[in-house]
Amino acid sequence: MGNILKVAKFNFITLFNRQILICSAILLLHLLISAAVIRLANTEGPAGSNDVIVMCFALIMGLVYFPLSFKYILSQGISRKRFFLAMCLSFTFLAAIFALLSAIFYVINLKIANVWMVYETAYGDRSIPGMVVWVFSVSLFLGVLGWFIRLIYYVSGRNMQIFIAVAPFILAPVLLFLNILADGTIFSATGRFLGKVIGYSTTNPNPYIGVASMVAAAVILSGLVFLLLRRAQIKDQ
Amino acid sequence: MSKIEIKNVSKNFGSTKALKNVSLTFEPDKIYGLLGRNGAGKTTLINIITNKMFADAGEVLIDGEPAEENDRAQAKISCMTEKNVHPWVMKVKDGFRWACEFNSSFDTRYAYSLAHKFNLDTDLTIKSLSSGYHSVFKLILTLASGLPVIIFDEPVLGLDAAYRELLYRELIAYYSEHPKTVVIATHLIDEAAKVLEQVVVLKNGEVLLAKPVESVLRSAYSVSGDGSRVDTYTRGKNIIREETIGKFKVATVYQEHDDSDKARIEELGLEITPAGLQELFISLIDS
Repeated sequence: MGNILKVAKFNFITLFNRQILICSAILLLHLLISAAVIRLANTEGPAGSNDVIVMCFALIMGLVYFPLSFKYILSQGISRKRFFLAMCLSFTFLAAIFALLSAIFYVINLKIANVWMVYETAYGDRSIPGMVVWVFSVSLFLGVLGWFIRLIYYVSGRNMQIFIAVAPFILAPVLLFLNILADGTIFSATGRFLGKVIGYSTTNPNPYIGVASMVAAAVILSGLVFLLLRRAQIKDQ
Repeated sequence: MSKIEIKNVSKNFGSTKALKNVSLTFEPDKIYGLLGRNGAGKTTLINIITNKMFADAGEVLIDGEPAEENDRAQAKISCMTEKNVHPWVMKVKDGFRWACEFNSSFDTRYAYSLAHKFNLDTDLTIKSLSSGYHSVFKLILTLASGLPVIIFDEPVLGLDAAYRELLYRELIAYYSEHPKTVVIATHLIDEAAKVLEQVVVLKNGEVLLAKPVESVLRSAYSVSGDGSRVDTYTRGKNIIREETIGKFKVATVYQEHDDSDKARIEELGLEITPAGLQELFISLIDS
């Protein structure tokens, strides 16, 4: 347990700290811009969203920090299993920090500008605890998703890396084409499925279904991450 | 006191065989030179010992315990790698602090005293260090680790002659007070030769030689003089290198020799000189 906490501490103090500060600065800037726009345009709003900003940061940090941490931690004689557990703990803390940051700025924003949040729009709910838990779960999922994508890229050979980079640009139009052929049933079925999974419904939206789904997805993804990580080797040595 | 046993280790990268059934033992409290040309498999072997890579076959044991994914075994090793493993924005002093955090044996006071001797500014970030000072930083972390096994992969990369000298002096001084298993993988063999006790030569992923330095050097000598007389003497002997300039010839022989050999060399009017480790290494690799 000692080494796991040390690794998590290392991640926060040497790798994550700057990004958390940058994210806070962007949230502050967003707050100022929202206030300025509303005042200058003489309108009541609404102004942009805090939760989208922290979600973007969670995904980017998942994508960026794995190789930096992996290289250093392995050189300290720590096994991949402990590194994995420490990274899970780090992303959990990170998601909690992002959720709190988002909530703090939301509360401040409400006093200055008529802020618009994804959570509020999707679920019609303005409760702070609900929003904190929901942003936490989404940030956790996106952080682990970023880590998973980066790890697939990391363990792949050059050809596979090119395929991973190009695949979304090929799959998107193919999917669009198939959807047209199927009279739009693919997208509408996907939308219905996602609506159920994230707890969004026009009659009875429930954010906690979304929270449970996001946490479950993060757990499943982290299982896949572990499978890839346990045989991952240091590159560029 | 820690022993590293490498048992039948093989490693392939695609169709390239980096290590072929390598078996070796690094005994406790000895200084080993791990020598070999670029691509001989030195770094791959070090990466397998330090759990950064996995062997395709075979195993590495540290004090009888498997090295792979074993925190207890890995906690006995400090390894200086050729490439950087630290975040570039980290300061040198933070590098020392984190080393201490992860390794309770890390001697911070010794690290700072080495930084002072090498004129390393501990307030600088790793990104701002020159390649020589970057090597100094990594060397200090390894030397001050206080762990029973220390491994250096190309430790003197970018270091000038004065700092290389200082490094080996520090290594000998520290080793004499705190004996440990030391493995040095390097190309600059002559400079390292004075600290090495054992030598392991890798060639194309195979162990070519694993012997005490003294015994290796005792077995190798160069005979020079008239070409035909050199040929007469070396006939039937294990010649690992020959060089001819006009009628003059130098042959490096790698074979036990005694007083009768010396008498024969004198009789033929030839000259005998001991071979240096660097010369012997090149000869062995080329032979």
